[in-house]
This record gives sequence, C-alpha cells and structure tokens, in this order.
Amino acid sequence: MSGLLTPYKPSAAPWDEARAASFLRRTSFCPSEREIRDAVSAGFGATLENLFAKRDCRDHNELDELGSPLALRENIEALRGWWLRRLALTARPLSGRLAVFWHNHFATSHVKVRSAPMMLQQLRTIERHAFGPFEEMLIAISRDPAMIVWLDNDDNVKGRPNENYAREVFELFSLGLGAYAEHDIREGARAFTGWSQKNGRYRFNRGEHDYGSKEVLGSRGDFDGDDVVRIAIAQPACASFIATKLLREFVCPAPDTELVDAVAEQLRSSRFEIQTTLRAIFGSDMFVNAPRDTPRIKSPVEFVIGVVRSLEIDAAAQQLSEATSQMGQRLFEPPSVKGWDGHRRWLNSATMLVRLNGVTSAVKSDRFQPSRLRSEYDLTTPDAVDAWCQRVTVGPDTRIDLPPAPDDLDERMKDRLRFLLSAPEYQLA
Amino acid sequence: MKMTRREFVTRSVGGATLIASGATLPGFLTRTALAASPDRDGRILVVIQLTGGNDGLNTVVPYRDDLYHRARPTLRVTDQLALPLEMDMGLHPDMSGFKRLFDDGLLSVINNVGYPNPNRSHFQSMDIWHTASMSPETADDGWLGRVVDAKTTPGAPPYALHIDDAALPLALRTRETPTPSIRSVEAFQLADENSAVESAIAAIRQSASDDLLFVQRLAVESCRNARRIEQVANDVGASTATYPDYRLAARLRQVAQLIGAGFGPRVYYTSIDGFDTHAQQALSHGTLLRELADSVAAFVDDLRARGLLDRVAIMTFSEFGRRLNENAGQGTDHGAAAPMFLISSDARPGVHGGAPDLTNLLDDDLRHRVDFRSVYAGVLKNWLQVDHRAVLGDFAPMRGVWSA
Repeated sequence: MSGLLTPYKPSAAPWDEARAASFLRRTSFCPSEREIRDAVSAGFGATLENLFAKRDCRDHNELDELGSPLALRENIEALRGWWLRRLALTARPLSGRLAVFWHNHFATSHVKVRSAPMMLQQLRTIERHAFGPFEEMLIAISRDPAMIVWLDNDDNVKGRPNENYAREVFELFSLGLGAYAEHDIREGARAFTGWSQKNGRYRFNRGEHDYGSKEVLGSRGDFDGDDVVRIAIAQPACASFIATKLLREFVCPAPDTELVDAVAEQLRSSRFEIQTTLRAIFGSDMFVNAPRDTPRIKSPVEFVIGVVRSLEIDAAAQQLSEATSQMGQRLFEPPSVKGWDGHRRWLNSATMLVRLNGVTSAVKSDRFQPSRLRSEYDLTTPDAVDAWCQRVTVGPDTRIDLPPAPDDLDERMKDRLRFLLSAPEYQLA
Repeated sequence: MKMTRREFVTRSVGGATLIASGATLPGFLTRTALAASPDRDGRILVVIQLTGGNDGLNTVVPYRDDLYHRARPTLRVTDQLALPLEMDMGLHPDMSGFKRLFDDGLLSVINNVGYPNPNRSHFQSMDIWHTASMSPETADDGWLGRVVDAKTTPGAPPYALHIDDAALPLALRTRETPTPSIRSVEAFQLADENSAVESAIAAIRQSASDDLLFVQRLAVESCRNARRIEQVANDVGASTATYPDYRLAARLRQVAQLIGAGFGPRVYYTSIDGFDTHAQQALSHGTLLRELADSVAAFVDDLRARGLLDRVAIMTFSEFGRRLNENAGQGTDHGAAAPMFLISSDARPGVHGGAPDLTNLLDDDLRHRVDFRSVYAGVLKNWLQVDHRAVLGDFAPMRGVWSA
C-alpha cells in the first residue's frame, strides 16, 4: 500500500476531542456535542467502523418507511424534505453523504423524469450500492428507469442509436473527457439499444437491440450494455476518475496526482469496492492526523444539515428543503447530468446571502433551544458556553474577531453562534 | 481584538484591508456615488445563454434546401410555415417576436458560428464558449470576467450582473471582484441584523488560504451589493410594461428596471435552459423558442418606451447546434456550428455568415465558418468599446456586422 495511505495510529497522535470533531466534520456532517463525546470515548477504531455500520437508529428507520407513500402521491417536494429529514436524523451520516455524492455523480433530474416513484427508486438503488463494487452500481444504474427516461435510452434503438446515455457513461460516470473518442460513443450507444423501461420498470426490448459487432475502447465483440460498463471500468482512466471524485468529496478540492494514484490503486486492488477504499482513506494518518490545509467548501446539504445536527435543531422537512434549494442544491433536481460543480461554484452573491441570512434565522428560531443544550451539556459559565459554541462549529481555528457578547448565557450562545456560523471558516470542511 | 464598525471604517480608508475600501462606505456615500455614476449613459450588453445546445437548423431554417427536408422527415419546418428572413432562410414559426424585430431592422443573424475541432460534450463546449479558449480547463476566468476585472474600479457599482436561477456561469468568473449573481431583485436582500456580521467578516486581516479569502471577499461583496440593489429597488418602483408570463421575461423586465434606474452594470447575463432535445423535440423546442422570442420582443418594447433602446444590445448563444439528421426518437443529437442572434440598433440587420452548407459536413455536423471569438470581438470593440485584444487575443471582429 502506498505510503500516502499509511494507517493512523492513536498511540502516536492521540484521538482527542479536536481530532474526533475534525474527523466527523469531514466524514459526516458537522457533529453535535454528543457525537463528538461518543467518538472520543469509543476510540478511533470503533468510530471508523461505526461509519460503515448497517443498522440505523429508530427515528431514521420509522421515517424511512414513509418514502414510498410520499412518492406515490407524486409529491417531489415532500420527498425532497423527507430525504433531508433522514439526513438530519440518521445515525449513519456517511451513508447520507454518500447517497448525495452518488446522486450528484449520476445526476438525474425530476424536471425531466416527472415521476416521484422513479426518483425514489433511483435513490434506493444508489443507497443499496453506495458502499459496494462500482461495477454493480453502474450496471444497476444503466437499468434504472429514471436514468433511462433522463438520458432518452427509450429512444435508443437498433439502426438509429441515441447517443445520450453512452456519452455520459464515458464522460461523466466512468472515464472523464479525453479517455475515449466520438467513435466509442457511437459504438457504445449501439450496445445499449433496446434498454428501455415501461411504467417505471426496466424492460429489455429484444427487437430494438443491435446484436451486431461493435468496437468500443479498443475491444471488439457483439457487446451489450453490461459489457460496455465492464470495458469502461477496466480502463486505467476509470480508477483515477472515481478516485478524484471521492477525494474531492471527502479530502480536498484539487487532489494531487500522487494522492489520486494511491486511491486509484486502492480501488483497483479492491475491485472497485467503495467501502474498502473509503476505509483506507479515512483510516490513514494523512486523513486523521494531518488533514490537508486546503479544505473544501461545504455543499448546501452539508451546510444546512450540519447546522441542524450540531445545534440539535428539530427543523421541519420543508425548512430544510427550502434552505438547501435556495442555496443552490435542490435535491432530485440537479442542474444538468453533470451535477453540481461543487467547491467554489456553490458560492455566489445570491447563495452567500442565503447562507448568512439562514444562519441568523436558525439561531433566532424557537426550534433552537439554548437552555436545553446548556443543561444537557452542563454549560454554566460564559467560558463553557463560548468553548461549546466553538467546538460544534469551526473548532479552535477562526480568525473572526468576536464582538463583546451578552451576559445572559442563552443570549450569549445565540450571539456567538451567529458569528461563528457566518465565519469564512465555517463554509469549509 | 475587538473593533466597532466606526473604528473599522476609519481604519480602512487608507486601503489597509484586503478588501476594496468601498466595501464599508456608509450608505449615504454609496448613494452619492450611484447618482454621479458616469455609466448612466454607457452602452449595455445583455447576454442570453440558450443552455443545452440549440438546434440551429430548426431556429434559422434553410427552408428551400432539399437536404434539410430529407434529413428531418418529422421535425422539418416547411417552407409554408417558416417566417422568411432573407437568402431562403426563415425563422421557426414560434419566433414571430423575432420576425417583428427583423422587420423593424433590429435583428441580425450570424450563421454557422462555431470553432475548430468541435467538442460535443455540453460541458466542455460550454466552457469553451465561456472562456473563449480551446483549453478551458487551464483558464481561471471567463471572457466577460476578464472585461469585469479590467473595468472595475474600487467602490464603483458592479460592472456585470448575473440574474438567473442557474449558478454563476464561467463566462462571468473573475480573478478579482466577484460578479454578483441574483435570482431576482426581491430575493436579494440581507437580513438587517447582519451588518455586525458583515463588519466582523470584513475586519478579518489575514486569511490562511485562497479559498478562505475567496469566501471572505464574496461575503463582504454580497452584503454590499445587497444594500446597493435594495436602494435601487426602492428607486425604480413598479414596472407597467407588458411582458408575457415566462421566467425569462420576468428576468428581462427586472433588467429593464435596473437599467432604467441607472444601476451601474454594463453587462447583464441570463439564460434559458432545456435545449438538449434528444427526443420528441418538436413540442419542447417550439415552446422554448417562443419564450425566447416573445420575452426579448417585450424587453425591446419596454426599452424603447423608456428611451433606452439605443443603449442596449442583446446577444444570444448556445454551446453547440445539433446534428443534421434527426434521430429515431424524433429528436436531434449533439452537433456543431449554429446561429447566434444580435439585437441592436447599431448592428446591420440581416443574415451574416451565409447559408448553412448541408453538402459539406464534418462527422455529420455543420462546419463552422465564423469563429465565435470574432463575434465576441465585435461586441467588445464595436459595442462595449473595450480592448478586445486584451480579452480575446488576436481575433479580429467579424466584418460587416456593426454599423460603426
């Protein structure tokens, strides 16, 4: 294994509150005091394993069952709020982060699909495969009804192929620009002919499939879509492409070649098992002990869900949906098949104002309860309040000068949080 | 270190902070600067991006060309329906708004616009149009962003304004002053309590990384522009002009109001999405073209009524055109060269750049005969009167398009 992914050893650099909080901010959402304390007392090994645990908490699971009935009512706005509420409640925040990550990778929009049950079905497919082998996920996505509608594969038929899906399989889902030619797209499209859907179910339309020989990325054969997926994943470019995307999501906005190569190698050696790869990244000394000093700008979902989780605000589904949408991330409606660009592209003057105004309304809202938090965590002095505010937001490092705060401890907490959540550092993770 | 707002204003007058000193000017000074703005008489460019790859052949239709009719058995616009312009080319029947502008001598079509080695990825091609560079991944800014950086003076109102639901386009990305992006005038307001936060952010002296500095500057600029726009919004009052009920029309109405109120920007940028018509194109494409043509026509009427028409030029573009042959799903796949529109009393009306040559294709797509950078160059030199070479390098403005 590359030296870059040398495992972290708590014996050399202790697993303390600051490391645990920083670790959770990057693998999960901005954590609550409870999550930080639990991580410290559980130890590093158990905290890492906990990220990959299957079973979720009861609040989450009860809510989970409401997905299908909401989707059947064709209410995509309610379904969006339901997804965000699950993110706010989950005890498996990494699963939540990954679901949004893959939704952005296989970016499909309800604006064209126009079926909430199909969008939910795609989300379930993504959640089922999020940690697993990438090949299984891409094969499942190629049969996903929402994807078939989104990229017009219903119209991809023998004799007159529609290139839309094949193009994005190469450009956006597996290889990236420059690793294939237009010829591969035209031939690849033939392999996906007849892959259609009827009433929200995948259907292979034998009569429309082109059984002839195709030449894709240097291989020749009477390929179908599954073959094209396998051929694409076997290209050297695929491991680097997926490695880069994972690193951009969890480590830094512009990972260097060395790091990409190390993670790509990890992907290849695990047969593109995402879980194994993430465990190697999150378990490395580079990640835990010496985080890169070039953090990423948080997505709206990370920003909003982080605020409500760390401040333990019981926000309504509709509020979460409105806030993230206004900040430029309307789940189930990415702007194009390329998804959201991320990092600096999240922020412009409009979305920045929404973040600043949103922080003010969150701490003023009666769903934020300073006195409950103070008694829960025994915050009885101004210093204790100040330290807590810092811990659940930006950690020890901020350059913002805090103005004098009110003496009343509840008011003090609100005031401090308003400044800390508006600090430039809070936009990064 | 604790600092009050007043102390900060006093201290930063010398320009000691990282941010332009105008960031913290008291409101009355900002208002004075606004009233005295020399840009009240300046020329304005409105860019409308057609996102998704507009089918140029069904927008400006070669309706007497047999090859066109053969390639488009279900999608073709017949010669009875096309709205004739000149040289046997006509507009899609849903573009009566543009036909009226053409008859008024305000509409110029520039045909066959593209670039060498056309890229058929939406994103790569859009980036090429946005940066005016064939290797956009190496560009840090957009072509209009470069103009913004060259023309912005500290404390002045923004040179460009993005008004859209979409994210800020690469075309407007700058190295220095961030281009403000708003969804609408009403949606762009700062909560009153946030002025203390604004001061605290502005007062940060050093930032550890470029990204932190980026966030800090953006936060301060956003607060400042929110106060500016709020001021302008108070001045403009309601608009009485008639616009159709489209999102594009609603945004153009606000652009007309902002220009009318003497708000600073010389460049406004907005978009209309949905042109990626791979399947069942006929219905959606017509709807989009109608939204475009009717919205722009209403905007032109509004500008004319306000006496502003001579000061405003409108330009449309899309990342590529579409393939000549329609596909099995009664749609069209990604193509190459396509027409652009210019609407301006200073441009020569008519069809420039010739008819599309359907006999001489490149990979089944139209070859370009006009490089889009020469269209940009003309807009910069002849309309905005800025140094096009500094923005685009050696591309000479396309001849014959502008009167001057």
